Amino acid sequence: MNGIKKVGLVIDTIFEKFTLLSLLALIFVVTTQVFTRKLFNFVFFWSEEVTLLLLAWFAFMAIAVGFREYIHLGIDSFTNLFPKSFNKVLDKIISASVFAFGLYLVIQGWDFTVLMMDSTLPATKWPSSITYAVMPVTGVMICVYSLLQFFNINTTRHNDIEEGM
Amino acid sequence: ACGKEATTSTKDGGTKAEEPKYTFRLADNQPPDYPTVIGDKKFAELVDERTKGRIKIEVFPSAQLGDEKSVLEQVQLGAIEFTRINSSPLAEFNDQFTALGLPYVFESEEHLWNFLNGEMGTKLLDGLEQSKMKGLAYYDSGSRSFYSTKPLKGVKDLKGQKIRVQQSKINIDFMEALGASATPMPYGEVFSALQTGIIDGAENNIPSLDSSNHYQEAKNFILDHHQRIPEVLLISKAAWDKLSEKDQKIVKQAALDSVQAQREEWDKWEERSTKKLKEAGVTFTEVDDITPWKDAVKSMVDKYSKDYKEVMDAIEKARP
Amino acid sequence: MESNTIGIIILLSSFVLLILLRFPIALTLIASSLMTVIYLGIPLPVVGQQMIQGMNSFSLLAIPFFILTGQIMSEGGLATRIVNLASLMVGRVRGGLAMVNSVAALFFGNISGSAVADVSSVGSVMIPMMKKKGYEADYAVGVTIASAIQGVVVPPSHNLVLYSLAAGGVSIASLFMAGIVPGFIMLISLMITGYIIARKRGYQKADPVPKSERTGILFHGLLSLSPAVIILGGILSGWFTATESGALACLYSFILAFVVYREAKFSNIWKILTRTMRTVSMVFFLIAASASFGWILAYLKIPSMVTNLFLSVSDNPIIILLIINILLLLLGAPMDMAPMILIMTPILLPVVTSFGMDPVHFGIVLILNAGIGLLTPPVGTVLFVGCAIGKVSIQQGTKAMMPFFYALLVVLLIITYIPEVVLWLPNMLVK
Ligand code: NA
Ligand code: NA
Repeated sequence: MNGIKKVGLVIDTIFEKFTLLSLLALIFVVTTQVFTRKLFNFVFFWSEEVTLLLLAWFAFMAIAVGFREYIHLGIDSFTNLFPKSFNKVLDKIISASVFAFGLYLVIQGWDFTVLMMDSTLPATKWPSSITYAVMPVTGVMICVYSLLQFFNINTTRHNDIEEGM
Repeated sequence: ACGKEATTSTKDGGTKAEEPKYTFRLADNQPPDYPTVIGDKKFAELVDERTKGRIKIEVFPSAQLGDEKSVLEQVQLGAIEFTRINSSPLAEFNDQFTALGLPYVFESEEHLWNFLNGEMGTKLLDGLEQSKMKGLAYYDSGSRSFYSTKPLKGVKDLKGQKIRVQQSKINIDFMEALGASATPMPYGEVFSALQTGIIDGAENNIPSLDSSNHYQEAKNFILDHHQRIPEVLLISKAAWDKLSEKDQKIVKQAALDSVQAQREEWDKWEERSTKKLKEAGVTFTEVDDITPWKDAVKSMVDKYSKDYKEVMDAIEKARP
Repeated sequence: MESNTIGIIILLSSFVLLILLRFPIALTLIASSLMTVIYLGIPLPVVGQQMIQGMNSFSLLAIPFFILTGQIMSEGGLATRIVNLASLMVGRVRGGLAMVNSVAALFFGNISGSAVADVSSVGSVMIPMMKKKGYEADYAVGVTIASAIQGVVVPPSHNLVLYSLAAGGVSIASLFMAGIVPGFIMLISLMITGYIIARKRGYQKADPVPKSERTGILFHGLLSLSPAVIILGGILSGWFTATESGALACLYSFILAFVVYREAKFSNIWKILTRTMRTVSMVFFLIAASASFGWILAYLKIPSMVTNLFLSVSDNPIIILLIINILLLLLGAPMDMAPMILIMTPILLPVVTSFGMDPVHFGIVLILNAGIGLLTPPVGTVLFVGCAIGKVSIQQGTKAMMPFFYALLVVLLIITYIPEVVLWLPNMLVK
């Protein structure tokens, strides 16, 4: 059991670091574009396309990590009127719905990725599905996080980070 | 998806031996009065008339359902049934379309339409079926020419000018062949880029030069007509397969019959824009001899032509 | 009943129900879209496809860049320097610290573009300082949170970028220009309100800044403001796009905080990135989900129905705008800023453009409404953070904030009904 937990945490760490690195990569690509345009009067023709591709991956991975960190919150002023027991059941229902959303991304996201396999991106000529593949990948992560939360396992990994913004 | 009423009436149709009713959607990224949308509406009207109101097509102009790329994907998916789209992004699905975007391959409007109305034109439209869509007809999109903030009287004036292009390898090679410096950037940024001198010029058809307001900055227009890239009316394969053979024929014919209305509207727009631009002080330079332009790009066009030999031969044959 | 009508009922009723049951707002948008798509028989992947399309925008990238810049600058101790600069400017007036607060919030909000960030950064410097100088805690909180709202309108603001996207590409440069004059009107009205209350409560002037320190404060204050100058200057001159300016500002503020001031430690880079990702995660999920929801809205032609509904109530723009403002203020009570912008723009923009309102003008009106919503319970993020820092109850904080809230309402009326206030600058400078 501990072994599984360890492997899971490693995968999760890699996933998160990859997300943060893609943000840095985005800054790098865009600044490079500014400098080549201003100084040498040209822009790599793939620059915008690669930027958008990275952006889609960064965004979806960040969204998945957001589920792990309980960032996507709802409005609780109405449900606070109800007893604790009601809210406990509701917690389960919400976790189950998040799981269903993850499953949607895995299944339908995969279907769509396959459908997009035979068309290409205009600049790099990579298959269009490379963008959409982010759906099934992050879907798996969202499924795992919500499953753990369903069984009352706290998935937060950043207790030390106070809300800066 | 044709909506619930359509599905239920299809079921009823089986028992009552009635013909099925459909409500379809057609997406266009241009505003409601634009020539392509006029064509779309004509098409919808003809289908309505010829099926006695059984098949309704609602036109969604102004990119309400998404931009070109998004709408194409929706058509592939079968989420919407029709779209009108420029043929250049179709090269990402059937790369033979690339040939239509090579510079100076069509010498005139007549040449282009000879080709499109020929066998190869139809073959290109049908060649999209593996990508879950089917071309129905071509619409006019005029010809693209260069405009600049700097004087532009001949091909040698382009040397060293920074010209905005759509991001594709061909367009960049094309600019280099003419000695210009290709600057890819999103369309929405062109105006301020012209203002601040990030770029000297760009290229487009006349109505777009007008509607984008780029002419307020770039007043030198040279009519080299380097590309004539047609528009295409598409149907989702899912919707096409659902139609009876009779309805398929009606839809296809209505699409073809709407072309004339669209082309007439296009000509009117081009005339109106030309007049407006001239009044605004834009200089129009006609190119008397296209040979130096063609010579400059010859090796580049030859390089690409190899991959699209069949299409290039058909273009050659369609020469009037 | 017609299938579209049933589709609309499913979409809207499931939306309201799930929101009430505290489902995450983005998840609610997706769930209602999916249910509607299933009912209408549209292929399911379209919802995911639209989520990705929602992310497919170069301008969108400005948002994480702006947020990261703000994070780096906070880490580099920028709030204190800006407060010092503001003290130098307005500290010598009666109730001066309240005005220092407003001016500092305008400057700081100018960089971060996030009202919550302003309250936590400027507030944690200003509120204790004000308490020490004899201001009551509730007043300190009230003026701090109201002042923080300036940052959402004053450029650079990622909320304006968000609106530009939701409105289908309204020029970011024009929006930024348009926010400047309203921002200063807000500042003036907040300062007047602060002054009146300070007189009533008998607050004093702040201590004079020693002459020897003035040059240093001025220099460091201006240096702290320079990332915003890069962003604004870059965009307004047309040298860079919003996204490019954002990337450059990240790089520049990094050098300022890590190399020049060395107040930020390299070991904190992951922490800064993680914080940025947290905010971005929430905003991006909303953008992606709103893209799907917006597609269904368009598919069912809801925006044009809403337009017709409004026009059937009245054809007088003054009345329609009044209704829209009241509607937005009411929605702002339970709704947060980003979902408000993303959900309401596609529905209300066609209404106002139908009588010729400029999308840039409407953007500022909408953003100020959504900003005021950050102050109002039950969901008032800025109010909550401010009360937490000032250690006052929500009731006390709300009560002390009310005069400033009314001042902001007056500003809202001014910018709604005098378009020139908003449009004069962009029309003059951006074509
Ligand atoms: Na701001
Ligand atoms: Na609120």
